Formats: sequence, structure tokens, C-alpha cells
Amino acid sequence: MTRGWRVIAGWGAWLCVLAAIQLIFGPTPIELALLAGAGAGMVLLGLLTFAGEGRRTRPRPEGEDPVALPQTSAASVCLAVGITIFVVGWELGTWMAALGAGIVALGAGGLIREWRAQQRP
Amino acid sequence: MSAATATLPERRGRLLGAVISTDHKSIARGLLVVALLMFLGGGVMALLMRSELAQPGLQVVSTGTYNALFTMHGSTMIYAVVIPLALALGVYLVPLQVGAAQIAGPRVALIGFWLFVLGALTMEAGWLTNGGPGRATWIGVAPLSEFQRTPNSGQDLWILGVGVLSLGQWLLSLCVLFTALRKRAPRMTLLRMAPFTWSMVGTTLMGVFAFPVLVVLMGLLWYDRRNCCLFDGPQGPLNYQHLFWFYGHPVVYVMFFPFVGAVAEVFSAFCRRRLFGYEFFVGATILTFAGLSMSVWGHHMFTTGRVDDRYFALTSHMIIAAAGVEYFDIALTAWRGKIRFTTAFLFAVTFMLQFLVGGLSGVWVASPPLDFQAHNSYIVIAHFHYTLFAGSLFGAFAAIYYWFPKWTGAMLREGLGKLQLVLMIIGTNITFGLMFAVGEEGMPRRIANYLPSDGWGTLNLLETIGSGVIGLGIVVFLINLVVSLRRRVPAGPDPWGGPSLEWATTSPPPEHNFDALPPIRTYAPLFDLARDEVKAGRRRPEEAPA
Amino acid sequence: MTNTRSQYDSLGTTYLIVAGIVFVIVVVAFAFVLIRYRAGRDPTRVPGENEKHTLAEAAYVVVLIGVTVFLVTITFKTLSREDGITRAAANSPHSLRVRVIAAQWTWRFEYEGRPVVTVAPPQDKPTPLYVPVGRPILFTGHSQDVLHQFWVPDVRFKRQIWPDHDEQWGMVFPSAGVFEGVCNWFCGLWHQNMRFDVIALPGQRFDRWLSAQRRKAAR
Repeated sequence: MTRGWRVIAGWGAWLCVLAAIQLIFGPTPIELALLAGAGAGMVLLGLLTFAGEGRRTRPRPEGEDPVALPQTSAASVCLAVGITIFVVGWELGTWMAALGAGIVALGAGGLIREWRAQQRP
Repeated sequence: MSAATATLPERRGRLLGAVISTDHKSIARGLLVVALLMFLGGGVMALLMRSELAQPGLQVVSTGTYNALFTMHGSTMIYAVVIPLALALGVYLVPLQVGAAQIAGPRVALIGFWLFVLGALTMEAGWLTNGGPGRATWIGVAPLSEFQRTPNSGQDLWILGVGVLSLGQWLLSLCVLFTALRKRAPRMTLLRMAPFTWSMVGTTLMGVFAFPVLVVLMGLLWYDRRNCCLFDGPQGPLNYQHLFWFYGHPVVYVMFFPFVGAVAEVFSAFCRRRLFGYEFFVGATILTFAGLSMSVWGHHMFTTGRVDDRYFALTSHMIIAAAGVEYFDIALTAWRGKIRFTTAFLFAVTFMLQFLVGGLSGVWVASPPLDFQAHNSYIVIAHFHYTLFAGSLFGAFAAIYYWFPKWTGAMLREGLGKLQLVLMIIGTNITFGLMFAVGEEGMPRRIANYLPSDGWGTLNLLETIGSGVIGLGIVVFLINLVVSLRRRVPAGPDPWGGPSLEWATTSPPPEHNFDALPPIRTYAPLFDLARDEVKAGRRRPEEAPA
Repeated sequence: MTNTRSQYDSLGTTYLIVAGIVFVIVVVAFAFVLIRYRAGRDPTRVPGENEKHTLAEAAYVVVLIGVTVFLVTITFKTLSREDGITRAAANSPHSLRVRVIAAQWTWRFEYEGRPVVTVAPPQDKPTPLYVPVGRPILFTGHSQDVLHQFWVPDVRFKRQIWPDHDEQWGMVFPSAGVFEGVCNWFCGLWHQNMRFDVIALPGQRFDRWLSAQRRKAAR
């Protein structure tokens, strides 16, 4: 269970190899930047995932999940709706963008509340 | 309690529950329903286009409307049908296949789902505006997509919608990826994950960087339209194409991997043999294929004369090895198997042969001198419809016929399924096979009208007839859906005798997915269980899978 | 002097043969396996054990890599030959140089020299592009507004052209005749009408045409 990060980091390394092959052919800057950037980014993500793995202290017993399963999340839907309204407000008017921003705040607040409630035993 | 007998408050409660449910199965069902509805819309657009193209001259729609139709047909099918279909399979099945109780980050997945739905609606909202929807192709390439050239607000809505829906798709793929990498049951090591789950890992690894690039590009295009100049100058249109295709190429593999993974599972189940060459399959899918797919995007730009033709030709051709291994392993799964020709399996076999046409034509256009003719002609349209429709969508139907019992607890009708398959095979190959010919004769894409003197009339007429046959096949599928859900034939937990963990729970599974997990010793845990039962004398010897 | 059409035809034939062989092999393999191992043939049979065949699979990968190397090699060679056409056209001081100006939704062609000969788009008809047969021509393409693409299907070659940028390519037209040219990058409302006609004349007839045009332009 602690090996998943290797898939991400290893694959990122493969992307870097493919980017290095570009050098044989004389790439334009943007060609190299995009692929090498993605490769380096994946390696970084893999290392971050590895760092995140370290925080788990013992393997979970089979079938048991100590964290309660969230079943619904109205705040999530609220956040998504808010983001969309905010973005579409760039087209339809500032009033709509402001409305969207408000709904985003509502959704974000709701998510924090939901998350806190989940932490309490 | 069936839907028909629920009371109104119960149905309302169920609907609200479905909207805010963080259960990955509910989210996946939502994705499937939305993708199906969008598919019907995109299909109508295609039929309108085909009816216009059937004869030279303009008969059915105006040129402006046609330009909107091909933009929105491509945009709908790619952004709102096949990508969400691919992700839906992963969202539903990956947690089950790795023995997890839930997807990683359920709230993130729910946010992602609604961003996708609302983004797709925003994109389509352009149809309701005065100037019509986006009409600068599904790529939205600058300079044409800039404000001066395409000022209508429908184009704005297209840009915003595509950005938002891609953000949602990105979140969904992150959830699937981290489910496979971090939420596996204790004895589910990486090399015991089901082939389909590995195909989703490949898919979502690509998604980590591909989707955000499109979101950023849409933001840049938006800025350019409201201010100026981001895509001006000698490098401007090139930059746009680089950024777009750095997303666009991996995304077409996002629209392929899950379906080849599903086909691998279907072969395994109906040949009663675990996947042949599993380690090679995993290595070919993940390392080679997915990584290569990030490094070939320049082959969409060969005709600019400004990309490294040789590098991109090389990496594009290297895919031959990756795809060849996948074909080898799937074919040899059937070898020495015990094959049952269910509808799901027949769709899977058809996928293998039809996708091959798409793949071989892909090798063709991977060669710059050949692409100098094929690019933006009907040759390329034939190529990508063979991979995405004749290939991936047939693989999607294999997945649907295979997993529908798990999702709904009811079986789909086999007879109607086989009728659908035959209609779709005939229609697909007439429509898209002939496009190779008309493209070779020099017919460019994205034209509403052509001249009688061009000599493309007969082929186009036949292609239109073929598209009608495809439409009939889809109608048969819809009938199958309705009949199967109304007059249910109960499926039970494992109607096919599948190899992987999702068959070890009820159909549909309870919210927490599993009451108890069977022992996990290999990548086909239920096959191992069946072999145990044969050894213990509880099942007949000929029922033992390999 | 080679040309893109003959390069395409020979490369394409090889690719088609390889593709055809692969397709037939796969179809035959699948047909054999599906018929031979169908359950109905012997319901009491147990499916064969899944043995390790690493050596076979590795050998198969080597074959695939071999096919890849072969195809990449002939592609690179063809690319070099086609690049050679552009180089020949650019390096030869006497080669014909034509500027291609694309604008929504017409083509204009300018024959460089003294004086410049401009062929403007005629009303509602494809712009004619007169070219000599068999000689390398250097085209310099430029757009006045959006992305367009210059495509002559008969010679199997196309190139994107966009504003603020001169794109150069060389072409040889191997046979005399009239050949369709189209804009092959969607460029807005009347993209489908943006056509031109390549009129390839034998060398001397072309020279006469060009001289006559130069005389007309000088007046």
C-alpha cells in the first residue's frame, strides 16, 4: 500500500526520458518545456505522495475503515454551482460573478463544517 | 421497491439524495446518464451534418449552422460523451476492483461531477444565444477563435464551459488515480490489481497534466478575447496548437485506455481465462503507451512545418509496440479458453478488429509525408472515427453489456443487443470506411458544401445511409435499456463468472461496497475462488477457470 | 527532381502493404482462436492453464520494434527527400518564387521578379495558379487574418499559413493539367469556397505565359 507513489514518480521519470530523446532532434523550446515540465511535475507529485504515505502509522485491518464514510455533501454541490456561476458571470455580468463568489464562499464554508464534523468521533 | 411504486416524497428524496450523494456509484451513474443524453444530442448533430453532406449543394442547413454543428458535434462527443463515459467506468469500478469501501476524496469527486455537468451545459447553452454556439471547431484554434473573428457570445460560453468541465474531469481523474494507488484493500498489491484498474491508472496519470493544460489554455483564450494579443505574432497560433494538443493527444488516449481495459476484462470473463501476459500488459499500458501518448502531440502539427517532425514521428511509431503487446495479450487470453459468445464478448471482439483499422490508419498519419495529404481531410476523420467510434464506443458497449447487471441488478436483453451490434457494424463500416476513399480523393473536412464536379457525391450519399443505420442501432439500444429496466431479469451478484472483485458483492453493491472480501492472491481473485471450489468438490471440474 | 506525389505513392504503398498484412494476420488469428476454442465445441473441457510465455512475448516485442524501426527509417528517408525539394527550390537562384497570400476567403498569388505579377482572385471562381511542370518552385505563404492551409490533393502536400509569419516550402508539379486546390484549415464562414486551381503548363508554355504577364504588369 505504500508503493503507489512509485507508479507516479516512475512514470514521471519515463516522461523525462522521452523529453531527453527530444534533444537528439533539436526541439523548439516549447516542445521541451511541455514534456520535461510534465515529467518533472509527475516526479514531484510522486515524491509528495510518498511524503503523504509516511503519515500513516499502522496498516488498516482488513475491511475496517476507521474514518466514517461521508454519504452526502450538499456543500460540494454548492461549491461546484458557485464556481460555475462565478465563471459564467465573466460573460453575463459582474452581478452574476459576485453571486457566484458568494455561493463559492457558502460552499467552502459548508465543506469546512462537513470536514470538521467528520473528524469528531 | 421499484421506481414506479415509490411515493412522490420518496422519489423527490431519492432525487435529492442522488444530487448530493458522495457515493462513487451514484456519481458514476450520474456521469453515465449525462453522457448518454449528450451522446443522443451529439448524434442528432451528426445526422444533421450527414443529411447535408449527402448531396452536393446546400439543402438542409445554412453554412453558418453547419459550422456550428461540426464544432458542437465534436465538442459534445469528446468533452461531454466519451471522456465522461471513460471516467464513469473508472469512478464506478476502480474502488470495487481494489476492494475499497469508497473512492478517494468522495467530496472532490462530487465537486468534479457537478463541474463537469454544469460546464457541459454552459458549453451547450450557446445554442440558445442569438449568434449560435461556438463555431471555431472543437479545438477553438486562434486566431479564428479570437474575438475579432468569432465575436458571438456562444463562443464565449463554449470557452468557459470547456474550461469548467475539464476542471471537473481533472478532479474526477485524481480521485480515481488515488483510489487505485492508496485505497486498495490490504492484500491487494499493485500487481494484483485488475487489468481494467491498471488501464484507469494509465488514463488518470495522463489526466494529471493534460486536463489542467486545457483549463489554462481556455483561460488564456478568454483573456485574449477580452484584452488582446496572446496569440498574435509568428509564434502565436503555434503556441495555441502546442498547448491544445499537449492536452488533446493524451485525451484521445483517455478515450481509449478504459475501453481496452474493459475489453480485456470481458475477454477474461467470457474465455474463462485470466488475462495472458499480465505484467507485459501493465508495462505496455502504463509505461509505454501512456508515457508515449504525452510525447506525440506534435504529430497534429506536422503541416505547420514548425515542429520537430522526426521526433514526433518516432514517438508516434513507437506506439506500435505498446498497442501490439495489448493485442497479443488479449488475443492469447482467448487461446485455449472456453469462449461464450455473449453480446458483451461480441462487442469486445468487434472492438479489437475495428479499433485495429483505426490504429493502423494512425500509424499511417504518424508518418509526416503521408500526413501531408491526410491532415484535415476525410482520411483523418475516418481514422479518428474508427478509433473513437468503431473502437472505443464499441468497447463502451462491451463494458455496458458486461457491467450493466452489476450497476442495476438487471440483465440487458441479449437478442436486442446482438441486433444492435449487427446494425452498428454495418452502419459504422459503411459510414467511416468510405471516408478513407473520399479523403484520398481530396475532400477536406469542415465543409458544408461541395460541387458536383468534385465527384464526391456518391460516396457521401452512401456514408449518410450508413449513418442512418448507426442511428437505428442506437434506437435498438435505447429500446433494450427501457425493456430491461421495466421487465427486469434479476442478475444476482455474479451472472457471468467474472474474475475480479466487483463480482464478489451484490448487484448493485451496498453503499460500503463489500460486506466481506474474498481472499486476494492474484489479479483474478474470483477465478482463484472458483478453482478452490472445484478442488473442494463444490463445483463441477469443467467450471474451473484458468 | 523528385516530387511529393511520387514520394507519397511509394511510401504509402509500403505502409499499406504492412498494414494489410498486419490486419489479415490479426483477423485470421482471432477467427482461428474464436472458432477453435468456443465453449459449444466441448462443454466439458477445462480452459488451458495460463502459463508464463515471457520468451515468446519478448520475441514478439522485438518483432514489433523491428517493424517500427523499418517504418520510421523509410519515413525519415522520405522526409529528407521532400526537404530536399524545398532546399533545391530555395538554393537555386533561378527557381520560380511565388508568394501565396491567403485571406478570408480568397487566394492571391504573386510571382516574384521584375515586375511582380499578381494574380488576384476572380469573382466567384477559384484563383488560378499557373506553374511550370517539373521544376522546383519556392512558395512563401502568408495569411492576412486567420490560419489557412494550402492543399493540392493531387501532389499530396499541404502547409499551414498564418499571419505575421512567412512559411516557405518547395513543390514540384510532375504532370501537366489542371488540379484542384483547397483551403484546408477551417477559416470561418466561407471556408468551403476558398479554392484555387493549379494550372500546370509545360516549361516553355509557362515561360511564355509568365513573360506575357510581366509585360502586362510593366505597362
